[in-house]
Amino acid sequence: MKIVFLLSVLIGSLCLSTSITVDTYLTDRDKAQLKNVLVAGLESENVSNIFYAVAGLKLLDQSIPNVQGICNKLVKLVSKSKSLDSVYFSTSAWKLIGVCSGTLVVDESVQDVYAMLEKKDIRDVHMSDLYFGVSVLNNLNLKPKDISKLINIIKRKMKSDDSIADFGYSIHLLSSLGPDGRFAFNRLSDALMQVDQVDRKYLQFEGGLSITALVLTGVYKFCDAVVCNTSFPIHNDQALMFSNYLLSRKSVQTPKGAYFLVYALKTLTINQYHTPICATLVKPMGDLDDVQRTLSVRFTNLLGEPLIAPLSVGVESALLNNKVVMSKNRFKTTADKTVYELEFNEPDLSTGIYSLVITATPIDNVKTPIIGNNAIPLEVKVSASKVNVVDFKVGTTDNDQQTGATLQILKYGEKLTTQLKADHMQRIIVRFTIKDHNNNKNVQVHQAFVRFTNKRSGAQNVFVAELDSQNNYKLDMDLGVKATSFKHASDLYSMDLIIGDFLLKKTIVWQFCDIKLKFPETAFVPSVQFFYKPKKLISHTFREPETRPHQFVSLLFTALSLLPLLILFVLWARLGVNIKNFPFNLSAIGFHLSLASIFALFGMFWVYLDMFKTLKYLSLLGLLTFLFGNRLLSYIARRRSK
Amino acid sequence: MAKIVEIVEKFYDDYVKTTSRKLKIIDAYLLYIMLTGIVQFAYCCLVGTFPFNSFLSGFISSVSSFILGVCLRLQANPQNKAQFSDISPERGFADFIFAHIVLHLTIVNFIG
Repeated sequence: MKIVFLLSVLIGSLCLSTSITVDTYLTDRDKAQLKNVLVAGLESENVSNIFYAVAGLKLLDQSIPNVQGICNKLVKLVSKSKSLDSVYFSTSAWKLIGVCSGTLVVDESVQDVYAMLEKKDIRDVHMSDLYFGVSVLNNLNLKPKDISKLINIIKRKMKSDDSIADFGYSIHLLSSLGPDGRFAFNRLSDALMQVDQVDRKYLQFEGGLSITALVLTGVYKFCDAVVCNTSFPIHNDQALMFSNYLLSRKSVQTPKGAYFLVYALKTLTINQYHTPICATLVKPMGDLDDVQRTLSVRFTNLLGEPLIAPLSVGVESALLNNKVVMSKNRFKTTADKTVYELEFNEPDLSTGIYSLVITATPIDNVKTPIIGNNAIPLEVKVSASKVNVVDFKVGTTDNDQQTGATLQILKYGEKLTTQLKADHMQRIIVRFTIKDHNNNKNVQVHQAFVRFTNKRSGAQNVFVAELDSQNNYKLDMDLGVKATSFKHASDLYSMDLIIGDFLLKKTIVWQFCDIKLKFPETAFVPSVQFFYKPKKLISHTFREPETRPHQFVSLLFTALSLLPLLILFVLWARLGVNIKNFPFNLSAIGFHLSLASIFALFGMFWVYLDMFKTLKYLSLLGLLTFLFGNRLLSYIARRRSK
Repeated sequence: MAKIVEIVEKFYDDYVKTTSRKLKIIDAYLLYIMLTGIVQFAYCCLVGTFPFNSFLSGFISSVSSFILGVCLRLQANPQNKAQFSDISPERGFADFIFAHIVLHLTIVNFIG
C-alpha cells in the first residue's frame, strides 16, 4: 500500500514537472494597453503601421476613430509609394475599414503584379512580394490569371533552406489558394523542426514575435484550407508552449507586434484543432487565511473569455511541506462562469505555501478538445489572520546581580503605566511567546524585533529577539555594551514590539512601555548636524625619493649606456657607411636639421617646456620635416631607380 | 663543440658575404639598441628601479626602437619584396622616422 502511495506521489510529481500549462491570459488591462498601442499606430505616417493598427483594432472588436481621416491618409500615402508592400498594406487597411469613400489609385501596381506572375525568370522574385502581390489582387477582388502557374512558381520558389519568414509568407499565400496547395504539407513539419524551445516552456521562431505569429497563423490557415484533419502538425504541448511565448510578449509596444500578438492568440483560441485554457488564481497566491477559506480559480481561454463548456475541476494533490494534505476534493461552480471555488475545509488549516495540482475536464462532449487542463500547478498561500503574543514580560536587572530579575507582566495591547529606568550597568530583558490563534501552538516568525525610539530626536534602534529551544522569544540586552548603538544619548525612549511574517496578514507593532536610559557622559556628543560637516582634507603625498646610488655608479652606468653608441659608430665605420654620397641640397640639409631640432625640442620638453607648447612647436617642425623629407626621399628613390 | 663553432663561423661568413651593406648598417643599429637596453636592465637589476618611470621610459624606448628597427629591416630587405610590394625602402624609412617622433614624444613625456 505504501509503495502504491509512493508511486502515485512520484507519478504525480512527474506529471507536475512534465505537463505544460498556461498560467496567464490576455486580461482586460492587457487588452486596453494593446488598444492604446494600436490607436497610437493609427497616427503613424507609415502605411504598414496604419494597417497593423486597423487590423489589430478589428481583431479586438474595437471601433476605429476618425475613419475618413485614415482613408484620406491611405490615399495620400499610396500615391507617394508604389512599392508592393505599401500597396498591400494600404489596400488591406482600406478593405478592413470597408466604409472608405473615394478610391485608391493602384492600377499601375496591379499591372506590376500581373507582370510579376508572368515572369519566366523568377530568381529575383521574393516570396514576400508574391504574397503581397496576390493579396493586393484579393483585396481588389481580382484573381491571378492562372492559378496553376502561380502554384508552380511557389513550388519552384519553396526550398528547404528558405528563411522561416519566407516559409510563413508561402503558406499564407498557399492557404489563400485553397486545397491546391496541399503539396506543401510535408514542409510544415520541417519548418516546425526549426522552432526554438526555451526552458521547456516557450516555443518561438528565430525572428521573434512577428515571425512566430506569421508562421503559426499560417499553419492553422493552411490546414484549414487543405483539410489537415487529424494530421495537424502542431501538437498540443507545442500549442501550449506557443501560447506561453505569445503571452510572455503581451507588453509589446509596436502596432506590428500588437497586431501579430492578437492575431496569433485569436488563432490559437478559435480553431478546430484544440483550445488552450488557462487557470489563474483570482487573488494573488489565493490569499487564504483562517477566515477566508475559499480558493477561487479562474478558467478562461487565452483571450480571457469564458470557455464554452462547463468544467469539472478536481484536486489531484495538495502538498504542504512535501506532505499530502488533501486529495480528490472538487471545485464548485459559481455564478461567474469562469470562476470555480474550492473549500479549504481541513479542521486545522496550517499556514504555509500549498502546492496544488488540479485537473479540469469538460463535463459535456466538446467539439474541439481543450488542452493545458491536466496537472495544472498552483501555489496557494494560507496565512494566519493574526497571532497572539502571550506571557509578555519586561524588566531591568543589574549586570552584576546573580538573582533573577523582577519582570513586569503585560497583556497584549496594554502599556506599562510606570516608566522603566535603566543605566549602562543594567540589562533590559523582554520575554514573550507567540502562539497560533487557531491551535494555540508556539510559532516562529520571520521577524521579532524590539525597537527603541528616542522620544526627543526620533532616533531608532532595533534589536532582534532571539528564539530559545521551547520557541519562546527573549531579548537580553546589556546596555553598557549597546551604548555605542544608542550613541550614548541618555534620554526617554519608547519601546515597541514588532512581529512580522510572510504568512501573517497583519503585522504587530505594539508600543508597550517607555524607558529612561542613562549612559555615561562622553566627549562624543552626537548631533544631526555632525553628519553634514565636510570630511577631513586628504592631501596627496608623493612617493618618497629613495637614496640614490653613489655618484661613481651613476657615472659608470651612464658611460656604459653610451658605450653601445661608440660600438655603433665603429661598426658603421667598418662597414663603410657611404657619407660621401650625401646629397648636399636644400632638402637634405633641411630634413636633417629639422629632424635634429625635433629631438632638441624633445630635450627641451624634458627639461622645461610643457606639452601644449611642445605640440605647437612640434607641429611646425613636423610640417617642415615632412616637406623636406618628402622631397629628399623621393629624390633618393628617383636616383635609385635610374 | 667544434661543430658548433664551425656552424657559427659558417653562419658569420655567410652573413658577411650575402647580406647587403644597407642591412648590415641596420643590423649594427639594432645591436646598439639591444646593448643599450641590456645596460639599462642590468642597472635596474643591480642598483634599483628608482625612479621607476625613468627606467620604464628608457627601457621601453630601447624595446620600441628595436621593434621599429626590425620593421624597417623587414621592409628594406629585398627578399621581402613580395610582401611589401607597394612599400619602397624610402617609404619605410619615412614611416620609421614618423613612428620615432611619436614614440619619443610619449617617452619624454613619461620620463619625468
